[in-house]
Formats: sequence, C-alpha cells, structure tokens
Amino acid sequence: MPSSRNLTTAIEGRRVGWISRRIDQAENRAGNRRWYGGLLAAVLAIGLWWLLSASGRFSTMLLPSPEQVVAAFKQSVTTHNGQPGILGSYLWVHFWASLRRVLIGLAWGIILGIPLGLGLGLSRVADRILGPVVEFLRALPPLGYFPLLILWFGIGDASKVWLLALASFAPITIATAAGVAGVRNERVNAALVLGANRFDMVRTVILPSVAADIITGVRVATGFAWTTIVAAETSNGLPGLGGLAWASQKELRADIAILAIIVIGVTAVLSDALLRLLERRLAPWKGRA
Amino acid sequence: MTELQTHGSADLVLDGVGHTYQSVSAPPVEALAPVNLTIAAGQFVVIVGHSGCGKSTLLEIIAGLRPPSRGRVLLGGAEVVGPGRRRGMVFQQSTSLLPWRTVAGNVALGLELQHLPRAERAARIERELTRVGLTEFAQSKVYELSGGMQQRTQIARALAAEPDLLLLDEPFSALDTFTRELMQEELRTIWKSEAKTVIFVTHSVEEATLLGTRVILLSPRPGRVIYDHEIDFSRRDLPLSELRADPDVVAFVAELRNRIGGEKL
Ligand SMILES: Nc1ncnc2c1ncn2[C@@H]1O[C@H](COP(=O)(O)OP(=O)(O)O)[C@@H](O)[C@H]1O
Ligand SMILES: [Mg+2]
Repeated sequence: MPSSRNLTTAIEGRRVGWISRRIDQAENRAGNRRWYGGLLAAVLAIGLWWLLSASGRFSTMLLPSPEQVVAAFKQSVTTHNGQPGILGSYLWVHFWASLRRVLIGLAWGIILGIPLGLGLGLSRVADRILGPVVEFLRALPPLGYFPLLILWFGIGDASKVWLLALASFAPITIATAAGVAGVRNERVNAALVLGANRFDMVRTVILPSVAADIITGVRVATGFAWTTIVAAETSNGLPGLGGLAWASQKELRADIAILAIIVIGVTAVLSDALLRLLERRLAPWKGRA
Repeated sequence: MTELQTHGSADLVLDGVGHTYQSVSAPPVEALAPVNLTIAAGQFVVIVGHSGCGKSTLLEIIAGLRPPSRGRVLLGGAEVVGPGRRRGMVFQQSTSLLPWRTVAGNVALGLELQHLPRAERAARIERELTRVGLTEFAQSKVYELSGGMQQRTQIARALAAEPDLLLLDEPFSALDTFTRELMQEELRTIWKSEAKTVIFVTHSVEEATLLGTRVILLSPRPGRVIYDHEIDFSRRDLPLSELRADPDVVAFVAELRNRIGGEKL
C-alpha cells in the first residue's frame, strides 16, 4: 500500500520536524514561544468558557459565567455585611494559608531531601539500604497516608505540613542523588589531585555540580506539593485555597471553586517559571561544557 | 608527610604495575600488563600508544587516583597510596574545569584546598595566568573560552599547586592543529623554565618526538612497554615549527610509527 506508506513517512517526517523545532526552541532561549503559547491557550480557554456559558445550555449553577467568577473575586477581596471576603476570609488570607503550608512543607522536604540525596549519591551502602525506602515513599499516594498523619499530628496545620514534607522530600532526594551520580568523573579527579578530602569534595565540586539538579527536584516537589495541599485542605482546610474549593461545593458556589482553581493554577505556573529561571541561572553552562 | 620528606629529586618507580578492570556485568578487562619503569626527576617522559592501550589507566595509577591491581608505585622510595599535591595532573577533557568558577577561580582551587594565605594565592594565580597568557581572561567564565584557553587554564591550575611531577593525559588531542602546535611550544617553554618531571601521554608519535626526552611505546591492550628510548630533540634551540621539519626528527617519527605498528595513530 504505497499510499499509506507515504502517509506514515509524511507523519514521521512531520514528527522529525516537530522534534527538531522543539530542539531549536530550546536552544533559542526556550521561554518566549512558550509564553505566547500559554497566553494563547488561556485566551482560547476563557473564550470557550464564555461561549459555553453564554449559550445558556448549562445551568449557571454548574457552569458559572466569567462575569460570575469576577464577581466572586470581587467578593473575595472586599467586606460584605461585616463579613470579610469569602467563606470567612479574604482571598489573600486563603492564598497565604495554602502558600505558607506549601513553603514550610517544602522547606522540610529540602532540609531532609538534600542531605539524604547527597548520602544516597555518595555512598553505595546508603543507596542500597535507603534507596528502596525512598522509592517506596515516592510511589505512595500522599493522601493514602494522610489519615495516619492526622491521627498522629491532629487535624491542624502540623499534619498538613508533615504531609507536604513527606510528599516533597522524595523527588528532591532522588533528583539530588541522580545529580551526584552524574557528576563528571574528571571534576572529581581534578579536585582529588589538588588535595580535596571528602568534605572539600562535597563543598567545592559536588554541591555546585548538583545545584541545578536540586532545583529540578524542588520544581517537581513544588508541583507535587500544590496538588497535595489542595487535596489535603479538603479536611479542615479553611482558610486555604483547597478548603475554599471544597467548601464551595456545599454552598453550591461553582464560581468560588473556579476562582480557587485559577489562583492555584496561576501560582503553580508562576512558581514553576521562577524555579526554571533559577535552574538556568545556576547552570548556564549546561549543554555547553 | 612522606611526600614532604621526599620533596625534591624524587625518582618515580613503577614496580610491576598492572591493572585489570573488574566488573559485575562484564568479563574482566586487562588494561595494563605489568610495567616496570624508573623515571628520574627532571625527565620529560612521553608515553605513546594506541587508543585503549591503558595510557590513562597508567596515569591515574601514578596520580594515586586508582589503586593498581598489581604492583606498586614508589615516589622517592615511598609507596603511592593516594593523590598528593606533589603530583599535578592535566586531563584530556577540559570538562575537568569547574564551570561555575572563573578562570582565576579554577586556578585558585588547589591553593584554597591547601589553605594558602590570600596574598600567596593571588600571587600564584597572577604568575600562572601570566605564564599561560590568560591574565586578560582571569574573570572569564571557563565555558565561554576556546578549547585551547581551557587547556591553558588546566595547565595553570596544575602548575599553581607547584607539583614536582606533572602528569598530562592527551592534553592537546581535542584541539585543532594550529592551537595544538601553539600549546606544544608553550608546554616546552614551561618545562624548560621549571625543571619539573613531566609524564605526557599522547597517541601522536610526532608530539612525542618533539616534546620528550624519553619516549615509551605501549603495545595495544593490555599495554606493555615495547620500546623505551632517550631522545633530545626538544632541547635543540629551534622553534617547534622548524624542529618539525628537521630530518632527524622526521626520521625518528617514522621509526616510531614503524615500531608501534603500521596503523595510523
Ligand atoms: N572503568 C573501566 N571499566 C572497564 N574497563 C575500562 C575502564 N576504563 C578503561 N577501561 C578499558 O581499559 C582499556 C584501557 O583504557 P584507557 O586506560 O582509558 O586507555 P587509553 O587511555 O590508552 O585510551 C580500554 O580498553 C578501556 O575500554
Ligand atoms: Mg586515555
């Protein structure tokens, strides 16, 4: 069947073109086009949403219009009949409550994950013994062990922060360990020849070599932490963005849920962009040396 | 301690040094057959051999980076059991430089590890960068330099630590011909002014002839010494460009090429 064959070739040709375009993009300072793409996607999504809700086919209870969400936003940052914002707090209070949990959880994840990752990367024995434990923890869905944490640490912030610390340390550990394993042998040898001891080696060669890998791990962990915290805030999560989204269901306020989702999404995208920037700052030689 | 005591005219002795790479997943690879050599202080020894014949393995063993599976390395009578500051090394790949440090920062590495006072460090960095002609580039990022400049940085880094023995593993093989010839000339000048012991690994018989005071040929894997000869072309008062065309040099290059086997190196 020559025609189908041509079709495959054509598709593969396209795919090759697509791949090489991706590589070109990456080389020509990745960012720009992705930004335009993201903006375009957002505009399209909002347009589609607006069309669907304006069509009148769906109840505004289930699919609120963009105007309703804007109104919910206005409500969330103002006072009504002496009531602050929305569901008991201003939007920024909800936001800060979630961000604070994410930041503290991540901080613990970093504090635990980096030394553990260095240990796993530097010591074969540690890797043999602790590596599987870390892999196992990473494979567990965090919400699976959340009930246990609630039993141990109560329904307050402590259990949520623990949840995030546990959820985020594994990707950071694994990224750090992988980074250490990938440190160029010549660099290590060069420092050894110049008289580096183990401590010198970690300080002058290993840590700077893996700085960007660590940030990659933190980036993965941050995404993970946001999805996890929002889910975790479904129990006693007010104030908090997850709590906000969850409680909106009882109030039959889909507009609040959408507002919360937008805030979470924008925050996640921005923190990801920030960390990507940091990644490139920390290793501008990647792909060059 | 041992290295301090033997500092100075320390002869290097390879006593039956051989190496076999063991691996869990593959059969063992005998990279280096037992080698016996005595290298006197001040020599410029060039080790030549086909790629894969164990040259890097041998240098790493001398540097103390790799314990040999057979035999011993003695420096001034004391057995080498690890790296030491009296032995400096220049690697084939400039990826041994630390890309987050500037040129000066890379040269400073060994001096920092020795906890030298700041003024002493600055003086040595200045001295070595001047020697290799990189003073203007002291604050440049190493990954933005040309390959030749990166290798100069490596040489400056090694020399700043003031080793008695300088090990170079195919340091110019990744450079273009023009840069390589320039660097060969520079290395010859450095060796003449410093009176260090140099062990230089290359797969180029011409490079060996132009630079060495002693040429050692290794057989294909497992590397064995198949030829060991003292020469003195490099001491002639001629620029390398002229030395290269000298009939004696041309003849010796041809002889080496013959001895090592017809293959192009
Ligand atoms: N880490 C290693 N594990 C197993 N084999 C190795 C290893 N390093 C080198 N070899 C093998 O040992 C031989 C000698 O290597 P090497 O000393 O790097 O040679 P050269 O520097 O002369 O090219 C080669 O055949 C190489 O494949
Ligand atoms: Mg080699």
